[in-house]
Amino acid sequence: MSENDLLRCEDIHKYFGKVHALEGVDFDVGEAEVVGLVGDNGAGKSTLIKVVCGIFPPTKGKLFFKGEERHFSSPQESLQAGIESIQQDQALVEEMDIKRNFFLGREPKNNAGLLDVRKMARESMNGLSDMGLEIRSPDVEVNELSGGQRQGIAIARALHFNFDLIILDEPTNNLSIKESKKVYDYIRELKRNNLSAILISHAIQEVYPVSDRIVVLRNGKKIIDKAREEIEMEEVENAIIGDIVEEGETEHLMM
Amino acid sequence: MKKIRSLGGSVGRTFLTWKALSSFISLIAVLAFFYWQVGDILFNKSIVRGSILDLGVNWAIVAMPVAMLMISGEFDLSVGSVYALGACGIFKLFQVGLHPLLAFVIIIAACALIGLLHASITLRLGIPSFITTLAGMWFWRSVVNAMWQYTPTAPQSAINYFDNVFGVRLGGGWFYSKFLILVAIFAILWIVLERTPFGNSIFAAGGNYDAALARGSKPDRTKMVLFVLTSTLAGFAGVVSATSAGATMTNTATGLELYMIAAAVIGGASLTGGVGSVEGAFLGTFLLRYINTGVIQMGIESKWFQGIVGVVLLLAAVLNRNFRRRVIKRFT
Ligand SMILES: Nc1ncnc2c1ncn2[C@@H]1O[C@H](COP(=O)(O)OP(=O)(O)O)[C@@H](O)[C@H]1O
Ligand SMILES: [Mg+2]
Repeated sequence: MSENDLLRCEDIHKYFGKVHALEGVDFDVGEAEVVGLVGDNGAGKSTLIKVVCGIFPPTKGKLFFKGEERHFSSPQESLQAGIESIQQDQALVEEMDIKRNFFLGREPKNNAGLLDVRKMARESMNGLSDMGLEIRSPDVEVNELSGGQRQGIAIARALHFNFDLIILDEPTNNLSIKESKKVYDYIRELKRNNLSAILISHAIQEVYPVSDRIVVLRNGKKIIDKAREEIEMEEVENAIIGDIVEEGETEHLMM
Repeated sequence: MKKIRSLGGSVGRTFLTWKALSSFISLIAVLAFFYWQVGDILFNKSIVRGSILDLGVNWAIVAMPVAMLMISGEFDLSVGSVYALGACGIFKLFQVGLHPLLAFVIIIAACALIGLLHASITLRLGIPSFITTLAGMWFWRSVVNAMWQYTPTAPQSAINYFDNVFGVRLGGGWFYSKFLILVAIFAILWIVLERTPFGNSIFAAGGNYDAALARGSKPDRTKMVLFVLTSTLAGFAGVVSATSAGATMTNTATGLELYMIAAAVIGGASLTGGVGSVEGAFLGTFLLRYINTGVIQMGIESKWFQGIVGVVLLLAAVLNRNFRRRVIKRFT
């Protein structure tokens, strides 16, 4: 754990009633680093991320962002601090068109104090084409778009507003191989801009190609935290399912 | 030439992708049907002013906020009872001898507080608004029944104070002045819904609550404001109704809540939230008024009003669901 970590979580615990969903997880993300956060369904990935972006507080543990201890009590607070999160099913409003989605919660106003619809249309289209995403009109409703286009919009939107850390929960879930490749391109684009990201998935193949570091959660505990060069995909895969890493071994794997 | 054609194209596209298009088509169809059946009798001055617009204005004042609330993903089934509370309540305060304006302010504030109460119970305790406002519908109706005799009365001077504002014949006798108030409310609500950040938060709250929350668009605050707005305007419509008619009854507006939901749905709203429009609810209301008046003019028993409303409601829902989807695919 280095001094100039962008995000640092220390000993995070989370209980849902009697369910101990996170059991003392240490987790950090460096500057311009892409971290792949993997684990089987129910491992606690989404819970950890929800703690980070203030959807609910941890039962115990500390959270530092840009070197300061933070207690986010709403997604809005973490957003303002510079954490963009694109959660499964929580990114876009399907019945709303692109421009309205793009500026949701941060709508620009014109001189009359009303919604600046023209600016919304223009800038949302610019944002999309900067990422190589061509959609015919800003008035198209999101429910007409493919899963890949939706991820593209969510990422373009994040890029449009400055952020320091972006969290993508299962970004290639339900996408075709071709569309997944596009999403990886978007993520590489983030890296070129020296931005940090957390990629969440239950399948290591989805995040391994673009991650700098791999973190594995199992049953609410961190069992692997290694640079990508130091670990093979198979090893991670086995750890996720729990074949190789046994209880005794988890200690020295944690760093 | 090319410019004209592209302008024509964009006007045409705007029309075809208009959210309230199906309510507009339904309205035209219903008008054509009645014209075929009873001729221009439905379009003369006294029918338009008296039968269509008079009650139509009172209804539309309620239908528009109900539609906005539905877009945000919530219901208000209490609007009929709150309307009655506004109507009977203001007469009571007139009787007591309060200055008409003071009476007005007190009644409107009371109705706003009722909306706030419904909102608090719904949002704080997590009770579905269908239940909260169903309870409200019965409770406030009982309050009205308990506090006033069947036909409350009020001093004519106090009634006139408002009738001089709401009930002046204008436009060569085609409408009462309260129609202009409706137009003003319509314009404000349309701008709020379609052209403000708050309006954007209304669509988001009903379309995807979690996304709205995650983007910092404050969906609960939005719903809270809409509950208050709906109750306030329901009470206001009751006041307008009682003072412009010069009379009211404790059972006035019974069943109004479902007609308001029908108007909103005919206007493109869905029961699951996220879609709908102010102008659709406006058109939907007058569609209902025309059906109501038309069946009476046709001489078929007015019992058929509800039957026809049911059929039109269904047709509009089908139009909204299938027709609109296809049109949008082609033209955006
Ligand atoms: N809101 C909640 N209430 C109760 N239990 C929850 C809640 N969210 C998650 N859990 C439980 O916490 C554990 C971790 O879930 P989650 O973080 O969603 O896993 P993952 O995202 O890795 O699939 C699971 O056992 C899940 O059932
Ligand atoms: Mg998950």
